Amino acid sequence: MRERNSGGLPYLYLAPALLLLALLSLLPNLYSVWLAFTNYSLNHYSDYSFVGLRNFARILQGPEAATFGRVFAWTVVWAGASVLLSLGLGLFLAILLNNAHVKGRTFYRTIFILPWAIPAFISVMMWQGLLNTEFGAINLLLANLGLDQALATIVGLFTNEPVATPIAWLNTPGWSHIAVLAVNVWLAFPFQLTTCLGALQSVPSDVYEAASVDGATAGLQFRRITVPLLRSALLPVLLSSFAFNFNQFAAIYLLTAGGPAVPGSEAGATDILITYSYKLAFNLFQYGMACAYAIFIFILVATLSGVNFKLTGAFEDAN
Amino acid sequence: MRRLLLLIALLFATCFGCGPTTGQADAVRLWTGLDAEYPVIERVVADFQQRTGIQVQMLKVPFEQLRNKFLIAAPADLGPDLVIGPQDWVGVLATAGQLEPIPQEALPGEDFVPVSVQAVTFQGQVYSVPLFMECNALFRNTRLMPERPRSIPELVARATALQQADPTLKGFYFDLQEPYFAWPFFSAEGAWLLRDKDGRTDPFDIGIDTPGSVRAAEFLRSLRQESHLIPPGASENISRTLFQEGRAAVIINGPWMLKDAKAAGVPYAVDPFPPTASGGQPRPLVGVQGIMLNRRATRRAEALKLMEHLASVESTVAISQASGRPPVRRGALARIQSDPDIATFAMIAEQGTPMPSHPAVNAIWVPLKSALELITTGKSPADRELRATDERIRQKIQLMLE
Repeated sequence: MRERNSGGLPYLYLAPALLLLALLSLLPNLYSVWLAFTNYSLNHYSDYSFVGLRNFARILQGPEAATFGRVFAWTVVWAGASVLLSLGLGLFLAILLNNAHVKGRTFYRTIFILPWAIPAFISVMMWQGLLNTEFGAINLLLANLGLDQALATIVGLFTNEPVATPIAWLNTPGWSHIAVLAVNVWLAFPFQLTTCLGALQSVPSDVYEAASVDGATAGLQFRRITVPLLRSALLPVLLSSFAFNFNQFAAIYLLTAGGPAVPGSEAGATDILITYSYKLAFNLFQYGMACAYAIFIFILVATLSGVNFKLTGAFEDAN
Repeated sequence: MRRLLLLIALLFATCFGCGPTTGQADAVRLWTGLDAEYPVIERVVADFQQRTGIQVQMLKVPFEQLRNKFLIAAPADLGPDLVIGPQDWVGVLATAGQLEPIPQEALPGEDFVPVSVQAVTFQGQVYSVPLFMECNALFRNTRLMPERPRSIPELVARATALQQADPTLKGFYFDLQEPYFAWPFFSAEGAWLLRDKDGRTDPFDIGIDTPGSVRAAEFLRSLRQESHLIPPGASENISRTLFQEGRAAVIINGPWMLKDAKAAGVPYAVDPFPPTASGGQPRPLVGVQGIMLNRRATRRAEALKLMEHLASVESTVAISQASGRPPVRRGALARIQSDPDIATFAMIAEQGTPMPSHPAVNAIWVPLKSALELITTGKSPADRELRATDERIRQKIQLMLE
């Protein structure tokens, strides 16, 4: 065995990466943590000073604090539903595409990846037009097919939306929740599809063959082989996409800007924490408060992810 | 080992050795977010360089990023000497301490339309040399509505009749939830955003919760709920498309639409707002773009010369012709009279409401927009919603100014 003490050489090898990490990630984050404890704002642009926990107290006790619970609940629903629905759709399509009997698989894969390839800013703007109540293509299509009344009735059963056509996709609370989720699923499923396809292709086919020989049905094979083998590959992806959707600013802000408005509150029906804090602090030039918000959201995401890790044992396989 | 050290040394050298290498150190630096006007400004600047021998370095920044870019770069001495932007940046940049008031000798005084100088004045100081202004007007399809309505009620009545005769048409269409487009009706009833007292803006003198505001909001609600002219989901984009396809008789829009309106081939006229039912005159908000001077400008004297050249009658006429936005100097206005549309916009702007330059105005738009949505969709009565909105705005301004 050679001696293991190689002095500072490993650190030297790591130095460029660590330096870049420090410059691009660590320092800016530490700086924003520091700003969260200052009164950095437009009126204190070059003479800001330490104010302790004032910014955090404001978020929890300010006039809009009552809204916080509603916005937080919707943010969790939004992030959770986005992940589950996009994974469901992605997995379903992945299983179809993984079947060797499907013709033109490359074609379908390309088609399904497209939503991912178009910049979200552009496609979200497109969706805003498509979902317009009066002129949007979706309502025109539904009306031509005679499906709008049926859809409104079904949704009316599950939400307290009045059954009315044309459907006000972006203008009533219930419908706008459905609309933003649908668009976000459309944006997110290609990623889940790719991940699932990759994971599926790593499952050796002889396992399925052996199961078929033993007389296992397709459903049983899916439950007993596919799901357990995909789990370890998918869990970390799920957790990170939950965190991503928790802060999915663009989809909400570009589609509804947080609207429709809710009486008595600054936050609209589809506002999530990040868009709500943008309205509250960012456009008021309250940089310190905005940083406090960011830390707040970070703590929430970190806690939720930590609970998830524990409950699902995501990294147990790795150990 | 030695090769490794050499490699690392090289890496560090490339990391730290590259200071700001581009651009001449002695050039006047100018940043702008203008798009339609950019080629003209480029030409005006080239002409300036040739005449004076002063080097100018121009940078085009996406408009929505420019204010923050300047706000970050200027204190680090990386900002430009001059920046072109609208009046609502004036209060923000000046409060942050990044702007130098325009020296008296650089302001040619009475030659400027008063509303333009008023818009770029913040707490008694002028912080921008105005270049051009913009505001809303009525765009009327002269085939669908050949005669100019003499009052807003007449406009509404004719628009409603038109829509009843042909349901595929829109009689009077605009985004009534957007404060910018709704404001003419508020101003007609005597409402105000922020008011000046002795030449200074009082950020807590807000006129959103007044009997006049309630009247204006009720009128907007009636456009949606009673006349059924503007359904929820209306947007500026849709209003433009409808007008250009000849499917809307009257819309509210600004001079930035002129080029497309002409290209669409729809016969149109630009009308000033007629008086409302109470006899009040709608005064749309007037935005003014101008040139601001960085407090840390390194080439101050040359920058002031460039400023003067850009704001000259000659230059601003050229800039206006490129964009359709009227110039702000009498001399320049006299020369664009041949274009009736720009002339109409200039006339409306002169009687308009200067958009407040105080940063507090940033706290008004979002709550007011929510209020307009709730009132016009019938979810909340106007008086109660406006009172709550006024309160929320005050809290936000309080927070902002701390």
